[in-house]
Amino acid sequence: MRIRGLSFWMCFALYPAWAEPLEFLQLDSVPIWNPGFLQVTEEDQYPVLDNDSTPLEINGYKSFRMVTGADGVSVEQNLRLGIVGEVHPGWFVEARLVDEGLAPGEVRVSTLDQIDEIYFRLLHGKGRITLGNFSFNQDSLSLVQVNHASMGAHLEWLGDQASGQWSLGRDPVQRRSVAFWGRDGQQGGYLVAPDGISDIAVVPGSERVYLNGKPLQAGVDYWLNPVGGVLDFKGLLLPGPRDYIQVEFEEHTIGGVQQFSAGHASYRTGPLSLHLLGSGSWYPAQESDTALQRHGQSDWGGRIAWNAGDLGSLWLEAVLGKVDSASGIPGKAYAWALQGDKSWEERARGFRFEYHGSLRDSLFKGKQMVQSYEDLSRWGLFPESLPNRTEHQLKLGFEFQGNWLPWVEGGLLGEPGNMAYRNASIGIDHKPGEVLSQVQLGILDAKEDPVDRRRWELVAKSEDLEGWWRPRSGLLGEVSGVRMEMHAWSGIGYGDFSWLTGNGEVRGEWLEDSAWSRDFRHSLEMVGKTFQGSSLFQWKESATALDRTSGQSWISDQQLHWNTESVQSQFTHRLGKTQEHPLVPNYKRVPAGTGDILYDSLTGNYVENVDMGDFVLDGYVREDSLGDQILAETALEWEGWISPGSLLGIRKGFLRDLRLGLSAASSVRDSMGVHWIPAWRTHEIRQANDGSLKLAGNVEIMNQAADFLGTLDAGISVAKQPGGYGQIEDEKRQGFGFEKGIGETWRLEPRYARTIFGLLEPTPGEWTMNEWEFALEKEFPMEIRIKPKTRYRTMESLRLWQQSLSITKSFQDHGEVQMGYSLTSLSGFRELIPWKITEGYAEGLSHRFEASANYDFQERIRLQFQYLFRSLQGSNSQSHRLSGEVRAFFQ
Amino acid sequence: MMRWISLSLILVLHAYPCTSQDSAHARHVLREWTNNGFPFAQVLDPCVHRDSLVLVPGEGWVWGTVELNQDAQMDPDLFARMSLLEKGAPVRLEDLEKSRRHLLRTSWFAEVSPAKLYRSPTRNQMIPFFRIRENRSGLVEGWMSLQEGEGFLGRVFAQFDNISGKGRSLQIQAESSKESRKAAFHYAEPYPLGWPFSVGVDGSIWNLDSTQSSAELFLGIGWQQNFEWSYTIASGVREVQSSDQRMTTYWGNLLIMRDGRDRLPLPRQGWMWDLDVGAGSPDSEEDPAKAKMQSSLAIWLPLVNRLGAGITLESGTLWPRHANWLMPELYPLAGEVLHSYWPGSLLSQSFVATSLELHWMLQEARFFAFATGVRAEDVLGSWNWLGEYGFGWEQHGEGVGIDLRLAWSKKSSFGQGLIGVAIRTRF
Repeated sequence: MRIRGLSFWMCFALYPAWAEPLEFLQLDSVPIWNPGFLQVTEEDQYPVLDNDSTPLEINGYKSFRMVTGADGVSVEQNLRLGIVGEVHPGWFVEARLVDEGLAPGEVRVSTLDQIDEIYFRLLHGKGRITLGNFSFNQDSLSLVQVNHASMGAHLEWLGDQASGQWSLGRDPVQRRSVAFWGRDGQQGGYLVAPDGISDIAVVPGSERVYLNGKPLQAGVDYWLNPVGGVLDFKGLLLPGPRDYIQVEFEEHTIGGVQQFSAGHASYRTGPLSLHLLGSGSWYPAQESDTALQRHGQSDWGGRIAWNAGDLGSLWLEAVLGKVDSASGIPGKAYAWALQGDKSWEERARGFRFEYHGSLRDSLFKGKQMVQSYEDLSRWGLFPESLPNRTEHQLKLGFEFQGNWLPWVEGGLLGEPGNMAYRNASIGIDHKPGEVLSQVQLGILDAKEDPVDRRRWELVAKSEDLEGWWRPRSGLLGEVSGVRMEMHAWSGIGYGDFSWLTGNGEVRGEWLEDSAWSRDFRHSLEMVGKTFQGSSLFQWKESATALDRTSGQSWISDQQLHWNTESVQSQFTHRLGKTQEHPLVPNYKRVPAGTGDILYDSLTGNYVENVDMGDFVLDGYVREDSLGDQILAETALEWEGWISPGSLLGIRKGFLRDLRLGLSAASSVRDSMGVHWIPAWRTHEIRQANDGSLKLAGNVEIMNQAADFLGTLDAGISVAKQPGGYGQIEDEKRQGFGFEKGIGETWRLEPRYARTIFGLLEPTPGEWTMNEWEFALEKEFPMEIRIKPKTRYRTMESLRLWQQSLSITKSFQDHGEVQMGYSLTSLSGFRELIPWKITEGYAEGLSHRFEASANYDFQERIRLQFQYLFRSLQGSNSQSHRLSGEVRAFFQ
Repeated sequence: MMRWISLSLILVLHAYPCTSQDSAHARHVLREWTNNGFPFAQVLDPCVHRDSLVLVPGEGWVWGTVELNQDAQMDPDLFARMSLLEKGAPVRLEDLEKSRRHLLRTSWFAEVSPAKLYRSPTRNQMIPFFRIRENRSGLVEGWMSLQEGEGFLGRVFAQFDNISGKGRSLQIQAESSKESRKAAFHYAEPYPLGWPFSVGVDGSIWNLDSTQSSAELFLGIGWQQNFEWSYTIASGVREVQSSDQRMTTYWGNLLIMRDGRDRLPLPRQGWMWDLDVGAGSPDSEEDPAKAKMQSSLAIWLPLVNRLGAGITLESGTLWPRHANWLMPELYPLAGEVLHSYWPGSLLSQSFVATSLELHWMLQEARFFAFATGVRAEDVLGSWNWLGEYGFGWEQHGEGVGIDLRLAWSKKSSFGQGLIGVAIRTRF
């Protein structure tokens, strides 16, 4: 201190080049040691070496599963890893890696082609870069759209005025597009394979589905099963033979890798906007040699649009498209439109104007789902029947006072210099209040070889737009040459409340040559506090021109759920046709004894959850052996529970504790015709393609004060399996039992059941089985439970007697360990007894020991382990099975 | 306030400041003293006496006992010994940071704070206090099955570092497939019986197809000379048995290592060099003596911001050339030096490898891109150029370590790029 003070004054007075002496460490700054410094206080946070960034968050798990059986071992590893975080101020990272079914080893290695999913994404401001799996979607041009999922690199910039994206990728997929007509009475089961029958693998989410040129929404309007490519319509969509279904999707291909590149840029300034799009896909030369049907395709396009507010808007589009890069000449297509500022739906006085045109040459192979439907509906042309074409369409209208809107429309279509197709229409719309009425008269004139075509069309319709009761009706008349068609329909929309919406419609059609059809459809949805329901119904009768016999088709789907304290009930009824492509389980043979599924050759059935199986479930595949069969399906399910005590307000006595349940289910599918009434007799099930019938009743008595639960149940069931197995079995069952707690720690569980199995196919037989069971459970401190149990089963001369003891130790919030030992004696065995009755035990005395554990360790590691030992006394038949899974979570 | 006034006066009174040479010289002298037992040394203004520097050395100080936070599992005596700040030795201030880096290189600690200094209340002893956060050290991985006929099938890998804070480490590995069996262990004990050495034992048994088998046992003694330099002498025996003959070779090895990296894992700066030479005795008169040499150099440079570079040079060779080396004696390039080849697919007798890496370093993680070139002699004796490039990500958190790498070799197409993932969940 003294020295410091002196030097300071020296510097100040004489040589103040340094204000203070040079030193590395000051004595004062080093405190005197005190062992109390070793105490850790809350203020002593760990030193952070680098505190200007948050650590990256990791999530996911890796798991390791192994099964050892009598004859081998199967091992599988799965990995799911995600990271997210800020790596630098303003720069974010998001990445994911999913790899399943890996070979074991500490370091996992797989190639990019084998991995399930991988991507790395860097985000900064308005830009982002993705490496790995990405999807490129661009719908801004009407002549060409790009929607593609691939693996590679993807760059994206989303600015206020300018935006752009570019990608380069490769993927083993092929673009497909198909179109077909609907079928009466069939809502589901349409196959999207180009040949209509094949089993294909669709890239999930790659599909675009259009019904009559209108794009549908996945999950809401339809469901496309990527396994096999089966399309089911949902909700109120009931496509019939006059409904045109178009599907565009990507199919997984084996071998052959497609290269893909696409770019898009857009710029908007004031009323002007500009889009540029380029995309290309091609196959490397050596791979396309083996697959001649594959070809490259590239498209370049641009769109300029000018939106001048009150004056209207204008857009122009030009696209060059080249299919098969070898030919070298690109096809060209142009489209343009000019329109006024008011839309046709808008209610405002004034002028309406719309003109659009297009020009495309025969080399252009653009994919336009909407365009091809318009060709069909407006011009009666099938897609690509006019490859080299020009089209103009103009529509003018003026809305007067009183909401009258007269309009005229005209169009020309044809090859350049020869506009062979012409149409003209005149109409008037009237929109007073909530009602919209329209009348229109149109003519189509087509000069075609060998006979010219002329079609007159008259449409009159009226529709109430608002309110809970919205009637509508319409009439369409069509005369083309000698052919005449009349369509009349009338319908109502009802409900429109928060809890109820619905629609109903009657439609009649009179076609040429006395062919006709009539159609009634209705749909309803309701949602309440205690109930929830939907109703869908279509009935259609039609007669063809050829034989004039009429045929009927039905679709019905009724569902009702009702849940109150005293009544719980579910009701489902389905009726309809489906093109049947059942998904059947695919059993994979594994080393003997390591699986959990066994084939019972007597019943021809795969039995699941067995001790020593030879198979495991390896997903589902489409069963194609049945061919392209259309089946009529009728199903009814009802399940309900009623508590009379709660219903009647009884607070005391036996009735309070009583709960009654009944469930009934019937389902039958038949290629021979519709079962109007749900099947309720067993022979109906036997004669159908497949089906089942189940009826069960339950009585439950539960008294919480006495710690008592008694159950009484009885049921019958008949089932016929679909597919090649053709197994038919029935079962009748009655049983009763109860659970009673004695004191705090004891529990008593006796039970009796009588079951009659019947098997009709493939091996007829009937077996009556009686079973008595008695179990006792005692709870000890430290969460330990011991449960001895005895079970006695008889079937004719067969006796199965089992004594077992199980001990369970639970670890609060961590898991539990269980051990069980059983001694089973089986006598009186004879041939032809199903596996269900003997449970796989052989004649004699069998020991069975089972131990299982599942435990969560430090919230990061989950262990599951199971060991099974079974042996038959007096023989060398011993088997072990050990399975374990370790799953490590990272967070 | 006073200081401001005096500073402003300096500028006015002296139009010429002292030269930077004077200042550097003063700092040099001061560094000498503070690193030789006089931590509180001061140098008065060097501009006054150009020929005679005025130094106020203060009192002489020695190191006291190194202390660490009480909640650590680490044994305090061992920690003090490992810090290499010897009690009673003159204080060297620059050793504090060297010691911290040396401790971080054990990879037992997630964090070691810069030392905080305290004085002994009674003597001229300086007590450095480190606050540490330890890594979880246990790792068990694997699967196994025991079966009649097949016997043991599976793989077990267990690693325990710094067992109960005593610095012992144990590693056990056993692998059994239908083709080969392998078992290995490693055990190390720091300063057994208070000796200034560390001792390690390595052993392994390897069996291929029941046609070739080998067993080896090695004992090593290591000495840490100072913060950077360490030496290990190892000696062992390897017995190789093939279908018709049995060979026993005695080996002697010397490993010299200089490690100046700032931490492990995820070093950011510093360099490391090691050299491993070994000689094996001839088994018989026909069989010549064997020798091997391996060396590597790795340099880590921080560039701008979080961006850094890493340069690695590595080479190894076996003598005599073109002898019949066994599989476990050859250098396994795939999976260790080259990541774009399936592990175990490239075995070499001699190789030279160079690798350049750019990384973006975060607190517990880094993203990196790398390119590697290798000139290697394959088992048939021909020399080949091998090259690869790729990128990856490495993260070491409290309980989980992830190393993910995507690599393409010179010849592989995009889809043939290999993804290698190593995830270790420690407890």
